Amino acid sequence: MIILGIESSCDETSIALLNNNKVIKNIVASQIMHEEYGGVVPEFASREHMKNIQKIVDRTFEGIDIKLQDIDGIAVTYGPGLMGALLVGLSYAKGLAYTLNKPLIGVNHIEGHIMANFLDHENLTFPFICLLVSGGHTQIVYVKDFGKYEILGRSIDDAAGEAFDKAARIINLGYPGGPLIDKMARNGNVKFHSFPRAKIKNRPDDFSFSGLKTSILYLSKQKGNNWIQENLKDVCASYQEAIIDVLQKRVFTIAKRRGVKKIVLAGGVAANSRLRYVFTEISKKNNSDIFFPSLEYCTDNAAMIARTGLELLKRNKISSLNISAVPNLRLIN
Amino acid sequence: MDKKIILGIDTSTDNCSVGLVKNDILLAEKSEVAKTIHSEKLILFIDDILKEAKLKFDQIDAIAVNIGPGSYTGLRIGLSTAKGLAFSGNLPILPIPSLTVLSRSLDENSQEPKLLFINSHSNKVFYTYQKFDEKVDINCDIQFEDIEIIASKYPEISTFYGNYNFNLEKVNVKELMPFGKNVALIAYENYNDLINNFNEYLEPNYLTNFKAKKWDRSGK
Repeated sequence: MIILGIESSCDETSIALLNNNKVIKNIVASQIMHEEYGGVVPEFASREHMKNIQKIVDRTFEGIDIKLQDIDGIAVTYGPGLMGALLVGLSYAKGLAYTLNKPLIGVNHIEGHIMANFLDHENLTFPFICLLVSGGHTQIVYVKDFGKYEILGRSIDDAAGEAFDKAARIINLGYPGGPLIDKMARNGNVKFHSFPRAKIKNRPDDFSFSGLKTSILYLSKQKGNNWIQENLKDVCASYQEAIIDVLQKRVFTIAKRRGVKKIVLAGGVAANSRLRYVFTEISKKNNSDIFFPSLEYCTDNAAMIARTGLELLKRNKISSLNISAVPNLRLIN
Repeated sequence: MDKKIILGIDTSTDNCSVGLVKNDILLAEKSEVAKTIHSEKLILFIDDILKEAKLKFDQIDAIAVNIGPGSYTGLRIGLSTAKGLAFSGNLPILPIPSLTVLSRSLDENSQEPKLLFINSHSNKVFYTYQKFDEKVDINCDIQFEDIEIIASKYPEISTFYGNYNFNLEKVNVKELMPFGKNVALIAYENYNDLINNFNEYLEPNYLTNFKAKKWDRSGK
């Protein structure tokens, strides 16, 4: 089956073509203009999607034998995300599905991140425990089967990605914070400063990252910007370590308790090199299998949306043409 | 000119409106005024009017769309849908300015100068001013201003026409909505002009530059 994937939920416009498990094309246009605003400006994001979507669709069909009429379904992100941004991809998908008379498949973006793992790992099987970490989400999910999810732990405030972005703003590193801190931290000392590892009373499986952000703010006020800049590598490394430390402790504690030996990482923060390293090392030690997507499929992309759409189409879970965008869509409703 | 079947789409305001014309004859139309229904209903409305006119989508020659200015999100729903619809049949998308479309909703016999507006946000409107004997054509001049300031600028005008019922001291405001059928009719009348300027990568005419606060790197 051939699936066209469309993703426009935040600041990436992406179109992909998938032939069963094989990615034929995955084109991602990242919007760089948000950098100078220190975060995604929703109206700009929507305008960029509108400007780019047809160009990227055209590029998708360039130089390949697959024709528009060969598509078996159109998979599109309908949430969560920015309303105006989602609507560009969704409206386009509806128009296309209507004229081609092909099924429209609304895809949950979060589920897409989990399913991204199947693009790289054909040997991956259910069930597994998934750490879903991105700019908007931090959840530990027990994935029993496709579409069967149980949330075992979650952030009660900031997502891990937000903790990176906000810290990068505080120490004047730039935006987006995750990749910048990751890069800066590579030669830094993870034990340089002891950032807090927050525990929540009576909720041992959940996370809190808002205190972490406050602590780096205090540190920067107390020691001054010059001190931060002089020790930037070490500040980044020890801050990053605090986030990863909390994530790995929760995940492996839960996995042990549930007797699950298969751990999967998903979402934009799963691109973090230290996170991948730490999870790989711990998995080796306790004989767990660890999976994470290639970098290309960690960040927002349409291939993962198409991959999820494929599973939905196989189960005949198609959407009607009056489907709405749902900005606050959850993994489990 | 050959007979042209044109689908008109207008989602520039709260009126989600579509119309189908064959040359200058209206075949079918459907509209509903409500907030945030456009994304859900637009395609269904298009399907409804095609069925009513007993036409298949591939019999359509062009898609005309209200290109703005107007509701940013509304304009994008209309244009994204139009692009999705146009792609497989390689149909041209013909852009019609919102105030030209709106002017068609006026009573044709009116002998007054016209001040037409589409509300942007709060008191700000996109507007055009035309003398009584002038037609609001597809090249009409559109400005962005506060409605109170416009009222003081044109004391000779007693009535403004637009999509929001402002309560103004010296001016009457009559509610007027743009319609998809008029988008299609105007596209037919200007078909040759529009088709010569056809651009696959058309964007909405937002008119205003959206401004956001830049990040102050001084550490605040």
